Formats: sequence, C-alpha cells, structure tokens
Amino acid sequence: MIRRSFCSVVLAVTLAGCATPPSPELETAEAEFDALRSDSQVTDNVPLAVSEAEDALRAAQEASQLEQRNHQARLAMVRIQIARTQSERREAEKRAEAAARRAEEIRLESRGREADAARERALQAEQRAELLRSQAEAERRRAEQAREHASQIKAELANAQAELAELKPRLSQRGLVLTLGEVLFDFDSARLKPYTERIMTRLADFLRQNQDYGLVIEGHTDSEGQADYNRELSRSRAQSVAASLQQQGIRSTRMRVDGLGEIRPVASNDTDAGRRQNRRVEIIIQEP
Amino acid sequence: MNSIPVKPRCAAPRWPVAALWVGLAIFMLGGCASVPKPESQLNSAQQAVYQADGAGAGQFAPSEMRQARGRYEQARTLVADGKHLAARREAELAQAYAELARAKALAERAAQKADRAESDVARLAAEAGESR
Repeated sequence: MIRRSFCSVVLAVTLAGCATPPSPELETAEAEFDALRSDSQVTDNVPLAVSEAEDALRAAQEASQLEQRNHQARLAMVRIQIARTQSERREAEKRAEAAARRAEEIRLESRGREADAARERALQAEQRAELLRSQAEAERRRAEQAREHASQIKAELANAQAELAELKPRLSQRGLVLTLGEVLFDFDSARLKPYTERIMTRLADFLRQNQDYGLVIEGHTDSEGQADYNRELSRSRAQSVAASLQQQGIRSTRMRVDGLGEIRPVASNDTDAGRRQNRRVEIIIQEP
Repeated sequence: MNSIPVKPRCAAPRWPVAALWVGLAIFMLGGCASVPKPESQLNSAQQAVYQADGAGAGQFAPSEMRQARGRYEQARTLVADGKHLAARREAELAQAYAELARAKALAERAAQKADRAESDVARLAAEAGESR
C-alpha cells in the first residue's frame, strides 16, 4: 500500500505541473493584447508587430510551468508595447508625409499664383496699351474731325464769301469780323436796306449750323454830329442787325450788342471816303 | 503448491516499474539541469542593445535602456553562475526591452520630424497667404 501511495503522489505532482494555476501576469497580458488587437489603427499600421505579440502571448498560454508562463507573459507585454510604439511611429510618419504633401501643394499653388499674377500683369499691360492705342486713335479721329469741321467752316465761309464779300470779312484776334458798311443802311437810319436780308439769312444759316459760335455786334459812326447821338445811332443800327438775326431764329443770348459811336474809327474822318468807312456795323463771330 | 501464487498487482514486474519512475524523475530534474548555455539569446540581446543605442534610445528611452542593459548584465552573471535557464530568460527580456527602447527612440524621432514638417507647412501657408 505504501508503494501504491507513492505511485499516486508522484503521478499527482507530475500532473500538477501540467495543470494551470492562475497567473495574474498572463491575465494582464491577455487583456492588453485584446485591447491592442481591437485597435484598428495599430492592426493596420503594424500587423507584423501585432502578430509577434500574439506569438509571444501564445507561448505564455502554452507554457506548462508557472514560472515560464510568467516569463513569457512579461515578454508578451513588452511585445505589445513595442507594437503600440511602432504604430505611434507610423502615425508620426504619416503626419510628416501629409505635411510634405501639403507643402508641395502650397508650393505648386503659389507657383501657379505667381504665373497667374504674371499673366494677369501681362494682360493688364496689354489692356493698358490697347486703351492708350484707342485713346490715341480717338484723339486722332477727333483732330481729324476738327480739321474737317474747320475746313468745312472755311468752305462754308468761302461759299458765303461771294455773298458776304461786301462785308469785307477779316480775321482779327477777336474772331472773324464782318463789316456791314453804310451802304446797308439808309442815311441817318437804323433800318437795314431790303437787299441786306439775303446777307442776314446767309449769316443766320451759318450760325444755326455752328451753334457754338457767339456774336458781338458793334455799331460805329464817323465823328460828324453829337457823340451821344452817334453812340445812340450806332447802337440802334447794331440792334437792327441783331433783330434781323433774331427774326431768323438766332437766340439773343448768343449776341452782344454794343453802340460804340465814333470812338473807334477805321479810317480818317477828314475825308468823305474815310467817314464812309467809319460808318459801319461790325459783326464779330467768336469761336467757342 | 503448483498453483500460481497471487501477487500484488503493483508489485508484479517490480523492477521495470521502479526503473520507469526513476527514469521519469531523472528526466524531469534533468529538464532543468540540461538547459544549454543561452549563447544565441545573449548574442541577440547584445545586438539589440547596440542597435537601440545606435538609434538614440539612451536619450529617448532611458528607462527601457536601463532595463535592457541591467538584464543583459544579469544574464551574463547568471551564465557565469551556471544558471542557464534564468540567464536565458533575462537575455530574452533584455532583448525585448532593447527592441522597445529602439522603437521608442525611432517613434520619438519620427514625431519630432513630423512636428518640424508641420511647422514648416504652417510657415509656408502663412507666407502664401501673405503673398496672395
């Protein structure tokens, strides 16, 4: 019986080596590993490190001896930490890669923006040049029109000249001066002789076509008679001319009427011929 | 008396069974005694410590490095004392800690690099914003 008991004890001890007494270290490692495996970031980043940790954990689970199991569990814990650390490293690398990509994007964008800005500047310069060209063109055309206008006016004046020849048109600093001589008026009268109407019509036509031109109508006399009377007569004659033009539709605001009397002779009052020249109405056509 | 004598079962082939038990006991004890010198584990641990050192783990993971070095030294001492199993475990732990130290150093350096890259990007973005 003693022998049999001995057999049983040896067997029990031997089997006890195989049975699994609790190991807190293994339980901790298992919990840690579960957490590791359920972290998809880690399993995606470092699958190899995770499977190494799993191998270490399995070695601990399969260890028959408590001491060996604890040892393998400690190793598994370190493997789990290594897997986590390597995953962190991978995350940092991803951050650096993302930053590098973003930097490249920014560089490309800014290069693109510089190119855009250059294109924009070129376009603006082109537009400015175009604007200057068109301004110059417009200026040239205006000058051309002004020239044409001027020559047209000259032509009209030339056309009118035949009729206005009697008016002895001359250019002075004040403008084109037409002189209506004594012959247009009756003696000592402010009334225009009938045939002067045609001349007035021609002048009114010209003024209608050239609305910007203004008129100064000045009456003059010779030195015979009272100065006051002469001034009054000259004024009346100038007024007659103005009235005639007004009848033909020329606004009075375009005309200034002056009676200057004898103060501005164009010839000597000592001769008949001179005095005739001095008795006159001058129409000064003023450019705008 | 020519009948076959009845003997106790356990004691029937007495010597073969005893020999079996002795052999088993020797085998189990020998399991401890016959652990070879953990040369390759020591070499691996040493190499891992060197690599961790090279990665700057002394700076970035000093506590893991202390663990690795301490356990490696302990493993050598245990080998010298003939405690091969304990030496092997220390060597394995030394290697694992050295690898952890190296991983930490590399992760830290990667984090610093990422921080630099991100601040560079922020600066670039700010400059691009100004020039816009």
